[in-house]
Amino acid sequence: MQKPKHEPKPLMAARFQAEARAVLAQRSGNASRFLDVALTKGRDIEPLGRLAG
Amino acid sequence: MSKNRGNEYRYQIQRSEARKAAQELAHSNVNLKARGVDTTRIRFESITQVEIEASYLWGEEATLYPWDDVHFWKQDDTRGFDLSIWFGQELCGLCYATPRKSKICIKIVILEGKPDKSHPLRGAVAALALTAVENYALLIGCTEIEIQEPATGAIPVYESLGFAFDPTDRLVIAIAQ
Repeated sequence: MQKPKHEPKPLMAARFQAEARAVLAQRSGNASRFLDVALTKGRDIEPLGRLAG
Repeated sequence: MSKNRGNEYRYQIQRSEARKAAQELAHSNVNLKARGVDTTRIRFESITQVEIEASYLWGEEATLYPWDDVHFWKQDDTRGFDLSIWFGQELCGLCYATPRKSKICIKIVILEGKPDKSHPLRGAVAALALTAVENYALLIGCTEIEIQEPATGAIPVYESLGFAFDPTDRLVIAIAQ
């Protein structure tokens, strides 16, 4: 049986971070779609306090 | 490190990267700047005791959400996503989302903005939270966001952001790449 490779935690962290950043970097202009819409509607459209749950 | 511990660590880093990317988007958003918001003061953080204590300052108008329990939820919910939205030293929003066991859908379980008409991020709390949640959903491979139990008054907000009720009455939106 092959022994699993041990990956030191800092290397694993760097790998996970690089993977996440690569996925997020591929996003198109859709990344700010919620902000772009919300900010054209004015402040009063959103109720104060509870929004979900 | 065991596979489970490795996965927990991966989710922890994905949460952090999702918040960072949303914060960068908020900092550079021209519409927020056009409102006169100093976007450099916007921060996306997790929910810790600091945020819980800041939420106590929201006063009696705040909904009695179990924000104290988020700490325990996080221990049992490896893929849960906790988020606080700050403007400088002012806590403006709190959110908890989770896919639970789903590989498809992440649910906004609770979302609350500061119950104060004058806070600087008023009107943008849901959009800011959803920006971070969508980042995280992309990272963990989900394809839709559901608003669980939307506040009645907030439904037009979600609909304006592109959410719609599906045939089973779930308020959902597909993740955009």
